[in-house]
Amino acid sequence: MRALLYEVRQERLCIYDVPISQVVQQIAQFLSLWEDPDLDQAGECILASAELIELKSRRLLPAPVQPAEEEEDPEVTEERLRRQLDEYRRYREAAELLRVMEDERSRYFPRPVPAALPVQVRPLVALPEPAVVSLLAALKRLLESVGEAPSVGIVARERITLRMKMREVWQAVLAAGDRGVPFTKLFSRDGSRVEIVATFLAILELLRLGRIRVHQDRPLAEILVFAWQHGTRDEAEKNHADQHRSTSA
Amino acid sequence: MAQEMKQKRITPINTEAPPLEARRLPDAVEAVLFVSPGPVSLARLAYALGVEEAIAHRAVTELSARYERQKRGLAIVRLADGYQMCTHPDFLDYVIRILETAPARLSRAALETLSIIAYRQPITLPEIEAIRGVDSAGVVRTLLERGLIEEAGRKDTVGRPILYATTEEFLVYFGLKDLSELPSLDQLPKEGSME
Repeated sequence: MRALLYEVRQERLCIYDVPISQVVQQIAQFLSLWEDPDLDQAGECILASAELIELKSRRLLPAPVQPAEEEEDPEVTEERLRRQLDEYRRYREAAELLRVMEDERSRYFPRPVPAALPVQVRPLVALPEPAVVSLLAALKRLLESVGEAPSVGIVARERITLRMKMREVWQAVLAAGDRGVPFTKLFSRDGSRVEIVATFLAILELLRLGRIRVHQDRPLAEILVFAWQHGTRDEAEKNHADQHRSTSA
Repeated sequence: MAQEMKQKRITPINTEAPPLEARRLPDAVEAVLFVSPGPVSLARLAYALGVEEAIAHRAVTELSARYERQKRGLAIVRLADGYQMCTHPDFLDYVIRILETAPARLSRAALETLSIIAYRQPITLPEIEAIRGVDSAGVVRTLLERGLIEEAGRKDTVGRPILYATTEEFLVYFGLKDLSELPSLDQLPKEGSME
C-alpha cells in the first residue's frame, strides 16, 4: 500500500492507471477479515488510500473556470459597495467596543478550577470488552441506516471538529442527568457519515477521559450514556470529587 | 457499615442545613462563591443558602460592598445571570506574575466575526462572509471551539446552512449580564471616514 503511494508520488506510476475502487475494496475486505484489528496499521492503510483518492480526484477535476462577471450598472454597484462597506465598518467599530469590554473583564481573574482534587479515583481507560463491542455494533447499525452516499452529487465540505462534537455530547449527557441518554439519540437524525463518525469518536474520547460512562442492561438492550457526576450510589464518592471539575466544562 | 458512613457524608445537606443568622448570610455567600468553579446564578445561590432570591441578592450585594469598602484583594463580579468571585483588577500585575499567564486575547478577526454574530444572530456562515468579504470558516470554527458561539438550528433556505448564535460563555467572557447590554449599533457613529 505504502509502496503504491510512493510510486505514484514519484510519478513513476500514472495515477490514472491506478484503479482506486479496486484498491479500496481490497483494503476494506482485508480490514473486515481482521479478527483482532491493529488500529495503527489499519489507520495507516486508510490514510494511504485517502491520499491516493485525493491525488486522483485532483487530477480528474477540471481546472476551475472563472465565471464571467455579469454586467451591472456602475452606479448601482457603487451604491451596493458603499452600503456593504458601511455595514462592515459598523461591525468593526462594535468589535472595538468588544475589545474594550474584553480588556476590562480580563483584569478580573476568577479562581482557577482545581485540576484534580486529592484522593480522587477516576475510572481508567480500560473499558470492559463487551462495552466496546456493543458500541462498535451500534456504530455499524447507525452507519447502515444512513445508507450509501449518492454516487453522483455535490460534495459539500463539512466543518466538524472533535471538540465541537465532544461539547455537544457532553451537554446532551449532562442535560439528561440520572436518566442517561440513549446512545443512538446522541447522533443527529439527518447527520452525515462524517458527523456520525465524529460523534462516535467524541463519545470514545469522553469515555477515555472518564467524563462519561456507558451502561447496557443486557446484551442487545439500548446502550445508555451517563455523565460520571450523576453516577449511581456506589460511584457517588468519586463523583462528588468530580463535580466541581465537570460543571465547568 | 463503612459504605453507609461514606454515603452519609456525601448526601446533600441543604435540606437539613440550619437557617443562617441574617448577619452571617454575606459570609455564607463568600463561602459558596469561593468553591464554585463558575458564575453562580441567583437561583442557585438562594438554593444553597436556603433563602429567597431577594434575600440572597441582598446578601451578595452586601458582600460585594464590603469587599469594596475594605479594599480587599477580591471582587464580586456580576455576569451572565450570575456572580463570580474574582481577583481585584488593582492586583492584576501580581496575579499575572504568580499565574505566569497574560489574559488571553481574541484576534481581531475573531472579535469582528463575533460582533457580527452577536448583533445579527442567528446568522449563517455565508451571511457572515458577505459582510466581512473574506472566508470566515476558520474563525467561526475557532469561536465554536472556544464555546463563544454555538449552532442554533438551520436556516430554511437552499442548502439549509447552519445558524450560529452566541453562548452564555460569550456573556461571561465579555462580562455582560445579557445580550441587551451590548452597545446599541445605532449609537455607533454612522458617518466617518473609511481608513
